[in-house]
Amino acid sequence: MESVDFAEVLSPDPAHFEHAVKEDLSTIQAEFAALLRNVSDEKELATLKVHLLGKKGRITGLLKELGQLSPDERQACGKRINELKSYVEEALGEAEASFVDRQMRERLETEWVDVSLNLSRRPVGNLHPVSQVQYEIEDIFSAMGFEVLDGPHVETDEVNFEALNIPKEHPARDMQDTFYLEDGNLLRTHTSTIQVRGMQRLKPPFKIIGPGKVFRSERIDASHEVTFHQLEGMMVNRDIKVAHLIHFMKVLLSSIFRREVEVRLRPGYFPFVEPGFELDIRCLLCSGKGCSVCKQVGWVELLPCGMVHPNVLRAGNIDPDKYSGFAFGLGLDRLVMMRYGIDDIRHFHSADLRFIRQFR
Amino acid sequence: MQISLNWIRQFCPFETTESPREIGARFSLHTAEVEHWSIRGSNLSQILVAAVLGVKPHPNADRLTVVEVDIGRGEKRDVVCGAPNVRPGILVPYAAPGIVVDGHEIRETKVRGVLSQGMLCSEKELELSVDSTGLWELPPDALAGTPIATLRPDLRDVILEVDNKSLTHRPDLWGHHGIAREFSAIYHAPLLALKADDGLANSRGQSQIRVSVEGKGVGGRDGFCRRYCGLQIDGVRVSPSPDWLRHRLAFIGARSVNNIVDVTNYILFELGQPLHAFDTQRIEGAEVRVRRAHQGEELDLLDGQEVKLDHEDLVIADARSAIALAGVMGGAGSQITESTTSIFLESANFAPARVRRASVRVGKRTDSSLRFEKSLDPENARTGILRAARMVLDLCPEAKVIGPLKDLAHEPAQTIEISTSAAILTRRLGAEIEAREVRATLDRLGFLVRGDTGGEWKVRVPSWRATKDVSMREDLVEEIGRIHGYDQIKPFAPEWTCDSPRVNEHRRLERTAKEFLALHCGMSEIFTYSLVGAAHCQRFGLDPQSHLKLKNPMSEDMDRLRQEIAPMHLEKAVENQRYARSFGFFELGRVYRKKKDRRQASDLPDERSHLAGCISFEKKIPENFYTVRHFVLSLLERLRVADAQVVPPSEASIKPWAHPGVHARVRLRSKDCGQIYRVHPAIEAILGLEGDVILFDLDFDALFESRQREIIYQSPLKYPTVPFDVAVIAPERVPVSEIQEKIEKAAGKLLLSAEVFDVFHGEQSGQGQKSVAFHLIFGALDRTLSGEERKEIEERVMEALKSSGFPLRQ
Repeated sequence: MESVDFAEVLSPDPAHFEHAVKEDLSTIQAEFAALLRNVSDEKELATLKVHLLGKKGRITGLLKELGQLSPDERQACGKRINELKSYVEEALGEAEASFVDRQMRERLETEWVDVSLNLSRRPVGNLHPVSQVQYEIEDIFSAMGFEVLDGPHVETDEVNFEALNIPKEHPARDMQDTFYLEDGNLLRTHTSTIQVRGMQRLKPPFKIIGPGKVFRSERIDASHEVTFHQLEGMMVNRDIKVAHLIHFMKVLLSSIFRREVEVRLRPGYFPFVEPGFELDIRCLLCSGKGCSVCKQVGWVELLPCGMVHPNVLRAGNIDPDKYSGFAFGLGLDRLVMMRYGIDDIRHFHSADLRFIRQFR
Repeated sequence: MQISLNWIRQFCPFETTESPREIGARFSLHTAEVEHWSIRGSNLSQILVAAVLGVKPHPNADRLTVVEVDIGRGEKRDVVCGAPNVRPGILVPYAAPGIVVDGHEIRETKVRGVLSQGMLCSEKELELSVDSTGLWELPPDALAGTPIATLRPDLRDVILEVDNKSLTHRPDLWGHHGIAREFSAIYHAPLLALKADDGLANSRGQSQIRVSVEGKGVGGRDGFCRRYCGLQIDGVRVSPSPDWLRHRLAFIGARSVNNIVDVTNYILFELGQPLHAFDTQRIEGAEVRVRRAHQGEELDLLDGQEVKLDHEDLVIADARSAIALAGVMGGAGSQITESTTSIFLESANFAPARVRRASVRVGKRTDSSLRFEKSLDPENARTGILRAARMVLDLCPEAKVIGPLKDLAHEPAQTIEISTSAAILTRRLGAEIEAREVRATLDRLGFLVRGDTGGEWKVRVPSWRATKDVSMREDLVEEIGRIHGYDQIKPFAPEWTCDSPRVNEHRRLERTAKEFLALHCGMSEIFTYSLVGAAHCQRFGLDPQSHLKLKNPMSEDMDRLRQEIAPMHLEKAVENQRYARSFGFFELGRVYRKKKDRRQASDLPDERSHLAGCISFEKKIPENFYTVRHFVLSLLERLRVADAQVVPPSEASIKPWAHPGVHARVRLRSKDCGQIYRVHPAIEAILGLEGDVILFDLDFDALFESRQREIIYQSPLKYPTVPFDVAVIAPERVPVSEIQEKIEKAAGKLLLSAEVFDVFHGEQSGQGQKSVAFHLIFGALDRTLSGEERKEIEERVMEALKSSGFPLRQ
């Protein structure tokens, strides 16, 4: 690119100066205009601007030299130089604007994308649907002041059964097919163990929940798994009543399902509660018509619950004459199945991402 | 258990306009879960008594006959029939065309060329029993043309099926009379008592059978038998039971055997008391002993199976050997046969735990054992045997009870009394129920309430609830609550101070970690089983013996607790590669190891939480490892785990399934806490993995321990910082961290950060060499660095690099 020699054109020649300040400025303006026309990019324009208007620029120089003139000349020249300056400033500004304009047009014409092209395939991950529901329920209960606890998967017979009022040879042991370890311990069959450990640690009043994995030695089929998830809840204080239990269950269910669900409470037998209840909800998968999830009954046992048995309180060093409480256990897997209409519990441990990744 | 509403109404004539479904639902809400209900005999009003007038052979079929029947009012029909027992003179059920029988509509149609005007029915076709051997022969005094429903109103019934599990705690609900008591309380209807013919207990004569019971009491492991009642009846005639008895048993799913066995079953389903009938003549030595079995003693059960007994089992024995497994099943040797003329009835109360154990051990959960293990009311032993004897006498008019009832009671029935009041009971429910209603409910359920209705009460628990079901106030709360109806209780919140719950930091960190991996790293959370098999362990080079084993596994491939998560992830990666090549998943799960110094039985194994992940990439390129490395390090940063370092592996840190070269150890304060690695090429080949599979595994509990709880704030630097880039040549396998350490040491405190921004392998760096470029930033908290300071640090850094054998690259 041919560069312009500004120094030469606007040289500090006294005669030229004389000419500039005393005569007509149109020549200079014409010269300047010619220069400006030759400027081909922003960089050259900036250089020209510095040469004319910068600290050591030509026009700035002219203004400085005004001081050497007589007052009369000074006034006349000053006026002229300032006229020249405004003229130059304006012309440069216009040139600048047209450059920006041109560039913008060029960019707009050349920059383009193919919206149908998928180049950056960075996936969005997700939590397991059971975790999602678990956290959702943890949040509901935390907001109501419940503390979240956990415990070991391998448990003693004492914690899993004895402390829950299920002595050896009790028929209720049949209700849960237990995996025993060779060392005499067992895999917890319910999260009620968290309750037991909670009572041993906390002094009433307290409100706790305990979500976690549980294990049953069951034949695996569409509605039975050897590993699934429960969420245990317990509240102990003076004078806790059945009416309180029902209240919390209703709050829980309306929060989980975010809609009206039909429920029924009926007597249920669990050795660790007295009285004990089964809370059923209308099967959401088949709306009560009967399907494999609800075993054709239309109702799904969702939640065993009840008032904590005095023996259980005693085992937890709590005086049943002073305190009472309620407890409940929620099957998280079944809850997820109902929410999404999943008809096979085996998906949960399949690690099949075609299943898991639907829950983003 | 199946419940016949006709049978219930015999004890409790309750009135209702509810449908069977509604009755079932109500029973579920107040007592126990009704799983199914069915209506029986709804077509019997259309099926008529028909008299067989004549039977002719079918012209075109050997096995068929053409039967002429009188269906009343002189009307006659010809029906083609295949039943072997059809003969003139008998009365049989007749279904006219248009009537639905056993799900099929009867049509007037030609059968092999002969017109058949309806159908003659067997009991099975009328769904009365399983008998399909021939036509149901009606009593000879029935009138032709009479609807069957008029002849036998008991055959129109509703059967409810109650879930046995929901009766686990209720010994009294294992017979119709107990269920009827519930109906009485639910529907406010009267309950008729079960009467026992006490006269029979004092019959004349002398039975030759001697009865003895070894051991004492019923409780604990040593408990045997709380009560044993025996009664000899001579002159019985074993024959099929009358229709009403056969049908009643069939309706509730029981098989009719003969009149004697059917009587014992009838009482079992009526009262819930199991009975057994021995053939008196087949009791050796005329002796009945209740004793423990001899170890290894053998017994042929009446279902044909031979069992080997255990010393813990309780048996009924005669002078020679065991003749019944107590409470479970009788023996074949002493069972009732067609030729039996004298029976010895047994009605006992065996120890629940002993019956349960024996029945589980020999694999026979019988109607009897199911009841005994629930702790039956000892009073029922006597009531049951006397009611059974009465029935036997009614069915066999020539029969005679020989001698007084043998009633060996070792333990007097205990009485339980509970002090309470209506106020206490309703307070626990949180419901307003009038004291009168509370008292009435208890009355109907058989509780004896003493005291003023509005004041303190002494509540006596009836014997059928006192064996272990009801013993305290809370039990009475349940009785009131369930009969009143839980849906009648108005829920409300308890008073509670508003305090914020303590936060479970571990769980919070778990959640943060999972969400980070999902949202930042694009991975999906999976669950895998905690149980693995020996083959799995061996496949991945782990010692199966070191794993914690299950005593009662379901299968060989799930018989021990895992010590590692990653191998399962590799298997899951294979499965997922069938559908996709590029994916990532993680799991926050536990691993289990035997405790090293296990002192007592109650010591639990070591359980640790691990956060493991697996990412499958399309192509095998070095960047993949660095991607996962970045995921792990940014995760640790997010979890505020301080002092984490990624260093080369040690021999011990390399798992058998891990690539030893593409492998890093994660260290926390000089302790190993995880690895990042590519799968070993050998495992890759065995499993058939494709692409590039990189795994990581972090000891999450260790991360939790070293997390920094709080953010420590520092104000942003007030003074300008100075960048400085430097590039060196280094041998290919020298870790960049080694070079960086030299820089850090030389630069000292004024080095604010050092980052590698380029690693270059090529001709310029030379064979086996690489060029590494660092971007350094110098600065101080309290001043602007002077030109000289800058220069000096830069020189120091460059000098240190050169003298360490890393020439500078210009």
